[in-house]
Amino acid sequence: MKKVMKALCLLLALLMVLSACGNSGNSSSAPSSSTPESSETQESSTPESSEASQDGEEPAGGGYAFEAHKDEPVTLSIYVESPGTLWEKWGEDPVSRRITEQTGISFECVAPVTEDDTKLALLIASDDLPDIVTGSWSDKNWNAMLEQGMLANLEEVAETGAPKLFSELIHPELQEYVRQDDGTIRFLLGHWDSSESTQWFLDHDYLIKTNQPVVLMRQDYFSELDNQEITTPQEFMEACKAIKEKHPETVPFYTGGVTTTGPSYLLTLFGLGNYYVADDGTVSKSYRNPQYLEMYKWVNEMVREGLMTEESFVDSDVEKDAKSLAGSVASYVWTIGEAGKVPADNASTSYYPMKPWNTYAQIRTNTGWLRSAISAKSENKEAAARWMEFGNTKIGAQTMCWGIEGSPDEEWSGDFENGPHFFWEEDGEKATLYPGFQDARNADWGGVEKKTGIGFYQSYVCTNDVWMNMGEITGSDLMKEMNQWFAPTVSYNNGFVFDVPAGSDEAVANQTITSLIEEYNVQWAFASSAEEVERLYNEFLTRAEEAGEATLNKLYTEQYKANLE
Amino acid sequence: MKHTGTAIRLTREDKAVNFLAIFIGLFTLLFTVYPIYYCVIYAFSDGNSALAHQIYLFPVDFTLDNFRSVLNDSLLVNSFFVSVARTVCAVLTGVSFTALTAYALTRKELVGRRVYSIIAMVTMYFGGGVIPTYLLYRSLGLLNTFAVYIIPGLLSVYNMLLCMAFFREIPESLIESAKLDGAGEFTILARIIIPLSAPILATISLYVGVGAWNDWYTAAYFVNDQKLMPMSTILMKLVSAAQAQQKAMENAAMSGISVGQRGPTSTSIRYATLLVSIVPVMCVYPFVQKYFVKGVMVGAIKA
Repeated sequence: MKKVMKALCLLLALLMVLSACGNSGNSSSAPSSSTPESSETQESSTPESSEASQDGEEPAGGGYAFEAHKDEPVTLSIYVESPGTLWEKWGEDPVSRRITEQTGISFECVAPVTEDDTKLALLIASDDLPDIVTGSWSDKNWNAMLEQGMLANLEEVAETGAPKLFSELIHPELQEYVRQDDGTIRFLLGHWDSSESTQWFLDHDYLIKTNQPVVLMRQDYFSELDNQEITTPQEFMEACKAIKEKHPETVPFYTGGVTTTGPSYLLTLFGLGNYYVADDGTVSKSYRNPQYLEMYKWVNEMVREGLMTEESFVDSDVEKDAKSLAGSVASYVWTIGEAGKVPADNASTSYYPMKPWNTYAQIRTNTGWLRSAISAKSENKEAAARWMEFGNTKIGAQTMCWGIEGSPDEEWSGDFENGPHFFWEEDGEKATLYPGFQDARNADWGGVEKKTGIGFYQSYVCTNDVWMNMGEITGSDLMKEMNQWFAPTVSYNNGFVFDVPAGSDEAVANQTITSLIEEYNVQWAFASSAEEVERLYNEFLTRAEEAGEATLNKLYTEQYKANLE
Repeated sequence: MKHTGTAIRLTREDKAVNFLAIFIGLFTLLFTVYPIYYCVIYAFSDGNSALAHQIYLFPVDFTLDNFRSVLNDSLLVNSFFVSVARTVCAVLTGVSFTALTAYALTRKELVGRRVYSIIAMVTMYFGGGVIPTYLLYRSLGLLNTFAVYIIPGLLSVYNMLLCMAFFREIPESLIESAKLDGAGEFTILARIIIPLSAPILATISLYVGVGAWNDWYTAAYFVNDQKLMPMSTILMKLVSAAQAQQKAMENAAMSGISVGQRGPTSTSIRYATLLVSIVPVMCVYPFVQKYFVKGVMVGAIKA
């Protein structure tokens, strides 16, 4: 009996000790305190990082608040929506160490384990936000945080914490874009283009990036075609027929991973976009565009001719990868990023984007990507503002985007940690990563990012899209050509940025119509004739009307007008 | 040497039945073992090559990169010890509390034991949801502590019911004679009930142990400190991160130049992760399997 009691007591004691040990980390979800921390992880690393750049402008020593406070260590908690990122191992990569060295700021990350927003919902529900919250523009949780007053007024915080943030660093156009109805600014926004940055990208052949939807064609099959100047969908269909004749085992055109739930990238190939403005000004989803029916008649004919198969409508992107890598498809729809992919059955050829058809048009919205805000309850608002200030200075961009500076005469040394990684071009106007370094990134993006930290952190704080991208413009022939081909097809229309309130009638209609499109997508493709496609299309329109299309269109039309104003 | 034993002569029907039984057995074995074998060959294959070629029997472009990606995670070693610690603690405390509670609830002398049982059983069917649980843990000071792995799991009602069913089958006369000899409740529990209940205790130990080992959810929502993350959570995060990275590369929205995909893919990492996570459980399982089967049978019949 005594033995049992002894064992139980011992067990209880062990439990209490472990619990007490565990308590030491109790502060990480709550705003962190500015307790001085050990400098073990902040080993001095880069004298270069604080050196002046060659463009005549002194990147450091600009009278910024982060410089004045760099000897006051502070740990900020930050919410990041993606799991397993470098944020969770702050201090392990060189860039994070350089940031701490230059600002005194370290981070403790709060992140979900899987890609869902339950963790953030918990933090909001318990009013337990970390010092800094980041997240994608479209995340609905932002509305909850704004409505509940959980985000600090950034201009107010910056006034004392980082006075130059809004007066010098954040572009005035962006300030107006993110200003709320009450006149305050509650978050910063990355990857948003000002008119200047759009022009800069145009001037530098960078309007078209690797995410541009294209048709990728096997070059060995393409070279066999009599007519290689394909400018219309009809000519493309003829080319597919010719390929099918010579290579009956191949699938001439494949849209797996793209068209499982709707037309997706096909809308761009046919110049339809996601929305349509009728002559009377009514805005609707693009199915109301008369060309929408023509697009599906084309898809239907492709299917009936055996040029597309059912795989296009059921395969995920995993199967798409498998089939394109195996070379079992002659052409497929994806993005420029896959140019150069070599099929397993012929190592001497590759997939390459086709020139856009005359129907090709892309309508973009400039909404930005990642928002960054400071919690209203944070006890470290000023330090958080200093982080935002640092992230928007040139030295911040250098540290996070370009790495260690070298000279144009040098070559990539192969030293991922200490560089140098980039040099200045255009009289110090344009930072350029060494081609060797860029090649290494292209080959193993995630691996290089892990080793160097370069190209990762800026998305969460920097608002200068040119700085974020300029290093990667190495004048590749591919991207020059792609910009020549596709840049003229791009237009911007921010009228199409809609906010359909969750749970509203419009949201229900939106969801129902989206499901209808998914349902009819396959029916249109596999209809027995063009007439049948038309009949099904009219049936779809009737069902969309019954689903409350008019209510949804009313909201679209009103918001469209308001956005343009 | 001539075999002199009297072998049973099988009829044609016996042979047919034996053949059928062996065939079905092998078929079942193939169906159950092949998925695990497939995980193994995929985990040892280059991610992109595995996508490009269908693999059935052998790895393609043999590589250890997938395991390297999993094992190189700096938090993994620490998380292994957290997992071991939480599993050991959860088993010791969980089984003790469950056994104690079950014993008490089987004693007729306990006033209101039906009410306690009903209250406990309600929690089997109705939960508070994640947010109320989070708020409760916060008010109890459990968030971001090691205790959050142990205290909420001290009592499993399902395991308690199994124990109760087992305890009830122990002859009351044993307890009565112990009482006549002057034994108290603790002595009865320690000297009589527990020694006689080894199968059920081993079974619930396995349940609690496997549950604690596999549980990634608790750390995902109630712990932020990376040093307190168990291995299951870190592995789940690895899989999610690989998927997120693949998605990011597909979008490649801001990169500006062709982004290469080399090395482990999210699928190959997932299979490597699966193997890494099941190996410790596979090592322990054979030692407790006999108790497990026995205990489950007992619970199933008597519950």
